[in-house]
Amino acid sequence: MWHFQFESAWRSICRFPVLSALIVVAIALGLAATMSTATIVWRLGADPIPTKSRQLFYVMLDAWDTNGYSEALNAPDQLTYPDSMALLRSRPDVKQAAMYRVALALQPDTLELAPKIVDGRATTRHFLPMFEYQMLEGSTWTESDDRDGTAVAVIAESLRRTLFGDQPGLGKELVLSNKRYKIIGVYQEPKRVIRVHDVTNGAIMKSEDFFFPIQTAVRLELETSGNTNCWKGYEGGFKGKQLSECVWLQHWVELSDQSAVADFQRHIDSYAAQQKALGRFPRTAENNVLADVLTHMQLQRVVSDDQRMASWVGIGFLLVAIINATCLLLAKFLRGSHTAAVHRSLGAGRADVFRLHLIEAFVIGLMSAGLGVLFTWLAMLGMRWAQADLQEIAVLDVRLISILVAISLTASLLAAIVPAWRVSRLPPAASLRMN
Amino acid sequence: MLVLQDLSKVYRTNVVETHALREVSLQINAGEFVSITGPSGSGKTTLLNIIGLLEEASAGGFSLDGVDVMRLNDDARSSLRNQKLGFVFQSFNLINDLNVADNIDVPLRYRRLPAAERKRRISESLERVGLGGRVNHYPNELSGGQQQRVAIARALAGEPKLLLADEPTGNLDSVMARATMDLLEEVNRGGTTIVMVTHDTELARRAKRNIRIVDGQVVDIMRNSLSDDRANS
Repeated sequence: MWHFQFESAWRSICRFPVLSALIVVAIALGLAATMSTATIVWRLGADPIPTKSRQLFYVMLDAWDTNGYSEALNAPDQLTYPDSMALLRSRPDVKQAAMYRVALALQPDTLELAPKIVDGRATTRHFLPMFEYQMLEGSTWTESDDRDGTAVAVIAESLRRTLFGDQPGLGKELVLSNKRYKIIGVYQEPKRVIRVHDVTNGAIMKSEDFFFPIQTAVRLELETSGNTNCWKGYEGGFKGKQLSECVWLQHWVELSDQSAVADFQRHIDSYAAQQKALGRFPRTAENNVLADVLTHMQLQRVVSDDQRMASWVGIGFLLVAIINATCLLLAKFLRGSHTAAVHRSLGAGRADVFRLHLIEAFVIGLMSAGLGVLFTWLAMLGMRWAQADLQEIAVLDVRLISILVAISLTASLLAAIVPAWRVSRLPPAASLRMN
Repeated sequence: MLVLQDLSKVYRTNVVETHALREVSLQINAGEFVSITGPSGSGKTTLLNIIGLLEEASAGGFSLDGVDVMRLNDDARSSLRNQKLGFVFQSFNLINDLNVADNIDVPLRYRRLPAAERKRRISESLERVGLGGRVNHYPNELSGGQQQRVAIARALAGEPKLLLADEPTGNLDSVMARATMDLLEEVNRGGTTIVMVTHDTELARRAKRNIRIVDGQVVDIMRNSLSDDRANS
């Protein structure tokens, strides 16, 4: 019976090819508009580190002054160097990662490789385990490396392969901007769309090529390649910046449970109050934030308002397409009502006719899904062409295609319910007589 | 086979009521060949549609093969239509994108018969109407007479107790019309009850009994001598 009904549905589709094609194209366009825009929001907004997202907290302290800022505004999204270091020193019992981004010149020991700028991060030893970097060789550096600013580095597997081919990287040396670093570890770059640990410098960026102790970077007076925001000028170059009120460090802490969170919140509140008493924090001492990963992403608008708006427009477009398809299906089903009446005269019940038309809608849904995948792929191709940082985001995968097929089938069936019900309720005698 | 008691059909709109049938009472016995005649708009097709369970009567009693159809819901009426009735329409009502075999197969599918049984019935019914070699033809590849014979084969494949024919020769030339009537008479001789609507008095006389309807009322029921003569000869 199913074979017969699918065959009948297919014949019905072929009976009115233009109308059928219009319905398929309408739904496929709606799907492409929805999927291409919603995928961006979905991928950017997804939890980038699900096993740790409720344990990692981004620290924000309000070191701004009152000029030009209102009390309602959030604290700045980075910390000053003195504040970040003070937090590290005051709570050695808590895993913390103070960090800033650097860009250094890689100078390979061999003439076969040309020098190039590589992206790195100066941080503390807890960073790699906190953000679940998988070590392929060696491990992160030690507490003494952090304290003494030792010239050690942990490099990415891709950089190791570039520099040493099949050879292990552990124990070898790396020359960065005329300074030699001993390689003490090699990590596998995480396959994350969002560079969760530093969205202040752009959420969609490739993983760093290397990590090394923050005190090493400070000792060598390596400038940040990330953002620096100041509300008060400073003098004296890097040393002066270290002591300034400029914010340029990101600071994360790992807190295992709610009591640990409350405890650390009290700690930063107390620190802020102390600083205010010393004449700093002119705006407020109470605007101190511990934001978990997803909250931090929201505060940083990893998914922009434009992207959210585009996805809503896409969904609206799909709804319009479904309404459009409903009207077209109604017209199509009514034009084919004589055949339905013949089926009725030969013994089909209303339920049979209703099912027959829903099966037709199901087949239309499958065709729309196929075309929708093609349209979505083209839309994403356009998005990647227009916006380079969407290379890893605007891509079709099996999961997305499955969702697209499911939406297409649901949309087609939803669009067909009323028309199929109408046709199944038509008195067969009237339809036969009209013929 | 068929008992109608004071059967009425009223079509209602917001502004007008049309009485298509007024208290029609009649009985048709198993094995009969009955023609229904009357002028256009007299209600004969409405009567046939009600007998064929394609329309519901507004009032009155109606039993088909002992089943009180006035009490049946749509599913039961569809099932009864599929099990006991066969239709032959003036415009054949074949499905153009199905070939001959698939057209005949449609009612058998709804009866959920096994494939082998369906195949046997399709083959036998086509042989019976003399179209055994046209299994894979499509309706538009057949003449009007052949299409009507496919429609009859489709009705016969279901082995109906009652065959309803609505102007079965209306779209055929005189030669084809005679052949179609010969076929219907042969089917009737096989024991199938036939009710045929026609406005052609010559054809009506070939039925055993003629019921004349005017303005939705049965005005005359008469036995046809021509039919009796044919039967006796």
